[in-house]
Amino acid sequence: MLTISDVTKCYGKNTAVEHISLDLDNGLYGLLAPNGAGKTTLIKMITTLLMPTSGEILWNGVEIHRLGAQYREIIGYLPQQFGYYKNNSPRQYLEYLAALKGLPTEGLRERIEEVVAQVGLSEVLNTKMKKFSGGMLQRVGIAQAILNDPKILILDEPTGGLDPKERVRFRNIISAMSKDRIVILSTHIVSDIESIANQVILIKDRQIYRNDTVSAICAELNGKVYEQSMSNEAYEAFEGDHFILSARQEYDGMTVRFFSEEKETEGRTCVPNLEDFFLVTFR
Amino acid sequence: MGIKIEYPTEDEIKVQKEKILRVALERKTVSRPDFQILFYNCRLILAVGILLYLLLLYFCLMIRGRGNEGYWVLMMYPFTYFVIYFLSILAEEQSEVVELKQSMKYSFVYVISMRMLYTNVMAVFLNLIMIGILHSALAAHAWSLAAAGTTADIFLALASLTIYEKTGSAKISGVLFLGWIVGCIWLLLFGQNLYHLLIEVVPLAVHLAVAAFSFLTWFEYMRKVEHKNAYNF
Repeated sequence: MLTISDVTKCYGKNTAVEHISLDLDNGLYGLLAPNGAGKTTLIKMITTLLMPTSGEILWNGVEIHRLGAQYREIIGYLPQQFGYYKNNSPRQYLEYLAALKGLPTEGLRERIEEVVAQVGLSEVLNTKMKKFSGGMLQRVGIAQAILNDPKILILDEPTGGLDPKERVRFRNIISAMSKDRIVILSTHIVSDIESIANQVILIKDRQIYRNDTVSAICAELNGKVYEQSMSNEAYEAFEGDHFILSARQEYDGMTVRFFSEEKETEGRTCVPNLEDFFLVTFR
Repeated sequence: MGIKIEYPTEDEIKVQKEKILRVALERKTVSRPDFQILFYNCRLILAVGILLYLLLLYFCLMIRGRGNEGYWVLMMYPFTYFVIYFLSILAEEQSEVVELKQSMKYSFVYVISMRMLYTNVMAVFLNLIMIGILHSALAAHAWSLAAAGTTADIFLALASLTIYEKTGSAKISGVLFLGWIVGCIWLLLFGQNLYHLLIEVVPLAVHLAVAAFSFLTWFEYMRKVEHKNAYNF
């Protein structure tokens, strides 16, 4: 179990995150917050890249910096900026990273082919990465993160640059992997985690704002999310005094999804989703 | 009525023992990154380092017979180390691989420290060639100078690596390097007595002992880095 115990991180006088406490067991945890909310700082502390200013992070009861290499051996990490050597092919780069991960050479070739197939890059396994698109590079990043079959898989904004098909593939891989390990997926894109996260951790004002299942979080907005159709002219006035969650242009006007604390007689209540909660929370 | 517990047979104990030992020993057979891994993607950096070294050798030939060779040699001792150190970090930062590598079992700090250890071992021999070129000018103190230069080189390297580990920045090490150059120039201009004391009065055995101690300090540092490290800023 990964335990984050009252962790605070300050950069000089600025506090990035404060009093974060979490107990993480096997499953997929979606770390959701707007950009600049402290997600990456928290991720960097979990991956030992940063020391907390106060508090501690424990793996099975032992502080992770005390475990050192023993801890880093069991993590897989995809940073927000995935760096690579342009003149390397995925095979060369993964072989190199495997050596840094301390993986034995026996069976490595097969393991590399397996993870590359998982991310759909088998055909370009020996092609230099300088020819790769952003999405392809991101998939190499995911491949390296799962290469050592980590007990803790940490992905910081992993879907940037992926097209819709690649996103679906990515979600399926990650969802399958979360059965027997801790997967922490940091994102500001709600759809990345809504359908697959066992638990969503929302960070607001540098602290944990919610830590619950998607359904429990969404249930907080039950009866407060509405949908209503109206003309384009009416929408302009409506927009001024309502909190709009989304608006869709139809042939004969607009269909508007909005949030209201008050009972709305004209709108149809609808089932709130995680994006609604995110928008209402960070309005 | 007591519960009857069946004890395992000798054969079962033997099988179990072998199983435990196999698992325990398996972990220890995983090898550390070899030379090729430590210097991965470093061909250009090493080429620049060697080129600089050849320039230093040429410079040695130029200053031969001027009477202040010892000061210059001392100043030049950590050059090869620092050039390879700065270029290594710069190249990795430009490729944006530092963060990823720092999260690996053999972290970026470990790789850089090992790389620089090998570089310094190589530098000891390369710098001896420099001493050899100026041997006649340096007279009886050549070996003292070699030992003192090696010690300085290693402690500067340890300081730069420790600073990098603590701050994640190589810039402060640049100040350290500049400080060394300024210190040597000061020694040349105003510190002849100190130079005389350090290089010519202190016995060679003391210099060799200190150099050996500096290497041992490095090995101890590596032992710690191998196990644990994190940026601390």
